[in-house]
Parts: sequence; structure tokens; C-alpha cells
Amino acid sequence: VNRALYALACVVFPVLWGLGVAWVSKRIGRAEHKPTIASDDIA
Amino acid sequence: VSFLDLHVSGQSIWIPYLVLLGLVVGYIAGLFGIGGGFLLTPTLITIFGIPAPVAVGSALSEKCGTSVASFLKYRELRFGEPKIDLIMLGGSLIGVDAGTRLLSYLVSLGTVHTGAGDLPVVRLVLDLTFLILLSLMAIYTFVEVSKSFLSETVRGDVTIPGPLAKLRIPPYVDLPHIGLKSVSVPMLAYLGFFLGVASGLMGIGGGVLLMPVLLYGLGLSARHAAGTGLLLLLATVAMGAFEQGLRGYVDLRLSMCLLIGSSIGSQLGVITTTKVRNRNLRLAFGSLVAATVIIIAVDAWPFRSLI
Repeated sequence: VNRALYALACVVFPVLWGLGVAWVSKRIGRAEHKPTIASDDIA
Repeated sequence: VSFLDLHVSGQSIWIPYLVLLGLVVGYIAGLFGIGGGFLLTPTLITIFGIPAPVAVGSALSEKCGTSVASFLKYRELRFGEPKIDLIMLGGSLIGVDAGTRLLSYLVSLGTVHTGAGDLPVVRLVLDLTFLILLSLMAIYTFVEVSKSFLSETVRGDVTIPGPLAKLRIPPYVDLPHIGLKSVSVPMLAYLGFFLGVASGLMGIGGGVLLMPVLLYGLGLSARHAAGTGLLLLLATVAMGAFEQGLRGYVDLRLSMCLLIGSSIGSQLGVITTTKVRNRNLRLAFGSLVAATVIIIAVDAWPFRSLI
């Protein structure tokens, strides 16, 4: 059970951190991102 | 300072170095619009001396955080085709399980003895796999860059059905959102499987493999290629991190240190993209991948007699 909980934590904590980062960057305004290494055609 | 040291599988690492590594990998990820996992795992193994399975597992755990942020960003922009994600997901979840089992099997094989010392089999296999994958990627990038230097004509940001989109293995699915008709479902599922195996075995998100497939295999436009596969990558790395956590391959402290750095780095990388031409970015990307190949090759050189 402990190992399963730890494995779950290995997913949940990073996901929560990612959600937090997404929320903060939305609040403070983020530079427009262009899909890179893909094409020269996107300005 | 000892309280800033992190002990990972007998290795003592200064935490600011890990945050710095996360920052650099995150910056590269933000700059080039890809995950950066293909650099993280080899760096953890080669430069920090972390055992290969722990490097793979912890990199997957770190990717859970970065991929959820990317997924949310592109979901807002409404690029990409979610049907592709859902079809490939079936294959990739089986694939990531297969990749994790393969990693466990390689760990169970122990070490090989050479004149230069003992080398774990898993390390040998991962070094070789990364060498092949990254060499191909560097060649592919340089070819693409040289094409763009030679020709001023641009493809335009449109979908042009590629060779994989024309493959005739039924059943088929229509993808009207990205302008493709009758795309083979088994082909997408098998692609997902191979992506999952790579993710489970190597600790990469898989975006670096998926992008060329979407752009040149299926022929998606650049914007749709960038927005497709993010749900797939999130689900794949989450499944991979959970499975590897069960096997004790994930060091959560390590992955969180990396994640803290990469969150800051990716924002800085994204800001830089607005100031640099894509062609120059791709040239820098190819050079970076080539440098990684050289670092792995130099590190593996004493064990060349095994190959």
C-alpha cells in the first residue's frame, strides 16, 4: 500500500505543481508561444 | 552545505545543481517547443552519475508537471486533433507498460565486466539507444535546416496528407478538424505503442519522436502538430511515472527539484522564441543534440569493446 501511495505521489505532486505554474503564468500574462523547430512559416 | 545535498542512490548531489539542470532543460524545452526529456535522462545518468532506472523514473515524474502545463496551454489555443490522442492512447498505455517491464528486465541482468570496469547492462542499452535516437535526430534537424537555407519557398502552415495518412490498413477515421480523411486507426495505435515503449524505457515524454511523425508522416500543419499529442503525452508519462514509482525507480525529491527549475526555465525559453528566427532556432537545436551525442559517446568510449 505504501509503495502504491508513493507511486501515486510521484504523479500527483508534479501534476499539482504543473497546474500551479499554469495558473500563475496565466495570471501574470505569458509571452505568446509559437510552435518551434517545426516550421519557418509561423511568424 | 550538507542540508542542500540530496542523496540519490548513494550519490550526493547539491540541490542547486539539480534546479539549475531543470532550468537549463526547461529553457531548452520552452525555446524549441518540445519536452526536453531526451536531454534530461542522459544528463542525469552521464553527468550526475544517477543510476539509469532512477534517472528514467524521475524524469518521467518531472514530465508529469511540465506536460500538464503544456496541455492546458494548447487546449486554450484549440490547436491539434484530440481524436489522434485518444486513438494513440490505447497503444501508448500498453507500450509504456512494456517499456517499464523491459527496463526492469534490463536492471535484472546486472552488470557486464570489462577491462575498463563494471557497467550495468541497463546503462549500456540506454546509452546505445540514446546515441542512435539523438544521432538520427541531429541528422534530421541539420537536413531540414540546410533545406530551408537552400530554398526560400516555404510550405505554408497547412495540412498536406503525408505517407502515413495514405496508409491503407482498415478501419479508418476521419479527422475533419485538421483536414485529413480516412486515416488508418491501427497505424495510429501502433505509433502510440512505440511511443509508449520509448517513454517507459528512456524516460522521455515522446514529443521529440511524435513531432516528426505528425509533421512529415501524417503531414499536419505546424500549429496542429504542436497541439496534437499533448493529452497523449500527459497520460503516457503519468502512467509511466506511476509504474516506475511502484518499482521504486522514482526519486520524488529529485523530480521536484528538476521541476522547480524547469518551470522557470520554460517561461524564459518561451520569451526568447519571440526574438529568434525559427531557422536559427533549429540550427541551435541540432547543435545541442549533436553535443549531447558527443558527451554520451565520450562517456561510453571506455566500454566500446562491448559493442
